[in-house]
Amino acid sequence: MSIALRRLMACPGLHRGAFGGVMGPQIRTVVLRSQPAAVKTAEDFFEKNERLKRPMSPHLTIYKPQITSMLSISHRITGIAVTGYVYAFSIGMMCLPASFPHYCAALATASPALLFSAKFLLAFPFAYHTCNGVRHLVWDLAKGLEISQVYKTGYTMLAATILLTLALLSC
Amino acid sequence: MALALVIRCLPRSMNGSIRTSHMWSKGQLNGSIFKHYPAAGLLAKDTNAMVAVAPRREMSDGGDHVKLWTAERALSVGLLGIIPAAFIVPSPAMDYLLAVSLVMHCHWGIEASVVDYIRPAIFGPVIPKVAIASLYGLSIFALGGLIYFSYSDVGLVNAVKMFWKFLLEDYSTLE
Repeated sequence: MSIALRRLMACPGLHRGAFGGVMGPQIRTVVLRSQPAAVKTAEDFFEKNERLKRPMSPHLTIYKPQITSMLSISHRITGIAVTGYVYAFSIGMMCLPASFPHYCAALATASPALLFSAKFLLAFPFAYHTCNGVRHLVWDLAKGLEISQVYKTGYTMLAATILLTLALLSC
Repeated sequence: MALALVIRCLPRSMNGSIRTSHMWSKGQLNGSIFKHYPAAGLLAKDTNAMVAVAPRREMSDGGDHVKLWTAERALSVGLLGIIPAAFIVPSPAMDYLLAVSLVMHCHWGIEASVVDYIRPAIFGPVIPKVAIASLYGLSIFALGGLIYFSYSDVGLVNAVKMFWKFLLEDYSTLE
């Protein structure tokens, strides 16, 4: 850049009568000198924005929900749900005094609607996580990663989940 | 990346190529103090570059993640076979195998979630470690509970079968 500036300054008369001559002849020699920038150790980008109390750009609140992200977060949510069931059951049965058949018989007195809901809440997350888990393992083999394939396998997985849930509920 | 390098290039002359690249680790929401060191051979030799090194703000251990990843996938595939097998061919050995593989799979899954969401950049240095330690405690208790359940009670497979008999058979005659 400094070469271009020197060329500009070397052209005679370029700054005389510049701007259509309205400013008159002006002779001024301008010297540009480059200096290394001072190293600022005082404040970095994030500290400065915190100091100025600037809000963060929105992300989750503005991103359009899509089947890719919704299926992915559902995989995590169903996994956490099934883990919750397993851990609660095992730690609970360790802490409770009586054996399982005792509690099973006690649960039998609950209403059929409640029992069916309980079975559904157990079966559906397990079925979804299993079917989507297969889809994840296929991805881990580096297969089916094209977006059209992701959508196709996603819909197939949802259908398989519904079928598996019905199968589990009816056996 | 274990360290986040923020390279601020300070060119000696304006003729040279000005290359300013900023890379910071994803977890860096809060500000942090950057220490500056001379680049000294890290970059092209005609720059008086200073390299700013940020302190670590991630939970990464800097080691090889591949073995853990492969083990996780192998366990997932194994579980796809073990769960139906435990119900089709029930036995105490299958109950223990199911308990171990199920709890391991659950633990690794929750650990990934905790590492993803409970980050040092948001929660500071202590809370993420407490979360991971609590998870280890819960998993150990869960595994112990399932092994105890298989040993001195009916076992997980029988328990699910007994519970599932509701609404399909006369559930007043549970064994």
